[in-house]
Amino acid sequence: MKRFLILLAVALPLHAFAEVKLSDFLKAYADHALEQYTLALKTGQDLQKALNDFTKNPSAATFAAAKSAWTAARTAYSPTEAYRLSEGPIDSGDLEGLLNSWPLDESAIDYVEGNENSGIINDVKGFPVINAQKLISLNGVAAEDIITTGYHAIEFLLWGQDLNLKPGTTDVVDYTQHGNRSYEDYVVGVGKNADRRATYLNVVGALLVTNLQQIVAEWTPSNSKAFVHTFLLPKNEAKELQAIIEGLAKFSGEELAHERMYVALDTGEQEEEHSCFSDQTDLDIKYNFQGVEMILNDMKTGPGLISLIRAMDPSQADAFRGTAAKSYADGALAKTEKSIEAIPVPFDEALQDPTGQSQIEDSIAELENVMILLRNAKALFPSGVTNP
Amino acid sequence: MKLTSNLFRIVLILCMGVVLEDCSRGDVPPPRPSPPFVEPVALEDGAFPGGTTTVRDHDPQAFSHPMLGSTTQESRDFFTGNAFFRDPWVTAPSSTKGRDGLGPVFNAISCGSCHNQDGRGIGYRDGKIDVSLLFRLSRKMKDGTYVDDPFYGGQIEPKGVVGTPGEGQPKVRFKIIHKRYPDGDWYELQQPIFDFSELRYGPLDVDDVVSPRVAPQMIGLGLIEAIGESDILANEDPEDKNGDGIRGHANRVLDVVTGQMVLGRFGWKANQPNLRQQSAGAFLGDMGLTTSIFPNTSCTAVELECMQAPSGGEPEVSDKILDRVVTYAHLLAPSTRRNPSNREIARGQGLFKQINCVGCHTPHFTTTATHDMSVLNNQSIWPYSDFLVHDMGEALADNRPDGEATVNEWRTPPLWGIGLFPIVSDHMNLLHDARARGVEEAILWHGGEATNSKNAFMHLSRKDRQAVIHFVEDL
Repeated sequence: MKRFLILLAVALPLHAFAEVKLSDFLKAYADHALEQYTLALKTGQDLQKALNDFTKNPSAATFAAAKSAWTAARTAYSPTEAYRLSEGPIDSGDLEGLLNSWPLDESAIDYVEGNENSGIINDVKGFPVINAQKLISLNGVAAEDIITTGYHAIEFLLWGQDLNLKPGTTDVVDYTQHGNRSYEDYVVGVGKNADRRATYLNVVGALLVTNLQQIVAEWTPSNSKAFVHTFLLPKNEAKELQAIIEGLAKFSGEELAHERMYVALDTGEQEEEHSCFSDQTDLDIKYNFQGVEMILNDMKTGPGLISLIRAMDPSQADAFRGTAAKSYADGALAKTEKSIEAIPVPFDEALQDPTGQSQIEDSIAELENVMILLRNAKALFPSGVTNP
Repeated sequence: MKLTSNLFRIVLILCMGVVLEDCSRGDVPPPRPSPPFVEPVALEDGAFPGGTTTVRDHDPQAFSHPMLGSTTQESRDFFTGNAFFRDPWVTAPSSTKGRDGLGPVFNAISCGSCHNQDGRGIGYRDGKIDVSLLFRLSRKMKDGTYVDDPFYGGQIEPKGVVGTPGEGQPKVRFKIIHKRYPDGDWYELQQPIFDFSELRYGPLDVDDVVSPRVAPQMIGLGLIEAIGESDILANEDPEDKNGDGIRGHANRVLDVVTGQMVLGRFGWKANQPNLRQQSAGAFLGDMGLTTSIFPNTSCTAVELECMQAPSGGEPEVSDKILDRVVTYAHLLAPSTRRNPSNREIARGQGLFKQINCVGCHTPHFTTTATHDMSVLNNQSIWPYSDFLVHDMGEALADNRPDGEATVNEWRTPPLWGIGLFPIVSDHMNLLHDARARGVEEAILWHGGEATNSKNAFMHLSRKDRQAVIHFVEDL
């Protein structure tokens, strides 16, 4: 009986590979990309409209609506980051930089504590006109910190610096609060350079939509020049798969766990957290990882990466998500998800407290495990590159 | 739908297997630990310049990845180092305690200002000197020795924090020289001529010598540190015993931590022994930030505002942050070559050897097994440098000695990554002062010990010259 089982286990991968074709996965990945980026675009357009409404008629209500629209747009964009670092459209040219550059030197954009005249908005002489062309030319020049566009620029323009102090103190930071910019910054006659600030906000809102449209176009099959056609060419399949797996590994480990979480943990610096103005770093982390999970698990559009891995080596697939025998909860995905959920909110407060710190470190370790599992899985598939 | 049901069937069969086997043993086996990840690579012919550490990225971020095979902790620290390498330092006092202490005089506000995306500095932008090109300064004394300038110190720092003036502004004009190959083809050499304006303490002395130096690419530095000293010294030939016209020798420099004179490996004149000292030197010289290695701000006796400016702590860069940045510098990975098997490029590689470019641009080393960071050990690497200093002729000389590197001598710069400069850094400005606008012009500026190879290159046919250039551009 045992012997029979072993034979079965050996025979299975070949049989299973015939069931889940690499081309099926790549097609699902491409369709899923279109779906996800379309959602990001839609919420980006809602944000643009909310910014227009707010700047036309600045009030507490329109301001709150603009901030909710930002959060919705951010929540839709975050899962698409799983498409980064995979040699796809988001990494071509400077699109990612224009959309999502971080960390931001806020004093390059607007006033900051200690300097009410800093930034492009208040430099009327240096920047008589604020338009997309000008901001694109400045974004990421010389040092990565001169960041003028994208989600985090809008975030800063809506929330402002997160520098609240505990009531009755002069130097004790209140990490429970997010930035509390006043909508009056945009009321002409009240906020200094209010009109220029409004212009800036609308310019970066419109640019965000333009940039998202560019990515959507690359995944749209009806666009004959789209990236998606090259992506799906049979001769590129092996190469694309390697790039996708490495991209997911790099994004989970080096980008999310290390760049976005470990640096903040290692330095204890609030300014190292990702969405530091709105204090919504917890959502960034959660939805970033959700983006990875969606591609690993079966997608609405077709089989996920784990199905492909399972066809080659069931034990590697089990490590990600368990099986009937090894429950889903024991798999790396569920453990990572659970660990991220357990990080206290807000993230900057968690950074200051030992329980929060150890929870962040656990999540980093879980994400690193996902990175290692993914990199191990690369060896299951042909490299797609002919070595000399 | 069909797919899902098939998958379900497979899963079911598999599970049955697992369950049955488990039952036979009566307990659940512990999960197996994952084996450490190793990228399968081919190591022949320099296609993977950093051995098994080599990453595969030919886009603008190509120089910014940690080496494959780094440990988890190294990878974590790499990213903290990256943040402090990339993000700007600010004036003290400030609310961001970890990042203040800039200046009071400085060249740049972050490492990344000059090593943008970890790449080679552009040198010039729109005819003006870019932040990535700095000027070292020495005064030649009557007895022939050289000392720092008494007013400006060892480097011109053009910028100052609020309340502290910068020391002076470098300016450049270019002279274009037209020459011909033996076959009649024309070529052009661009020679920069430097001058300074707004000099805070008056004009430079007639006996002052300035040495322009552009920021080098950051890849593979840890691997250079891991090359055995004897392997580098084995290529020394100061008396030219082999008669090839090349007289490479090592620079011996002070290791300020141990107080020993040791082999210099880093910098345009090989004047730094290791990455920790190199990084601390750059923090101080280029950004005005003190470290435990160099604890004193570099103000000269006349720079009163400089001496009175507030400090950002003692030292301004903590040992922890210095460690992280040094880890980062060790682990930036070389990337794969683009077309190593292309026939024309392979022909260029043969010619590169035939005309003895390899006399200084040593293609290959194997690192030792003794570096603290195990990923750097026993790597088969292709830096295309011997890390020795050579007389490069008067046309390239900076006239400023540095340790045992004389006025005409420069360290052979490693060529790995050179073909990615246009992608990573958007330019192809080469040599120590970024004067050459491409590989061809850089070759044609070679003189001194490289004269034989340069002449051999000039006597190649146009097609062969192109092959050599294409080979170098594939590195």
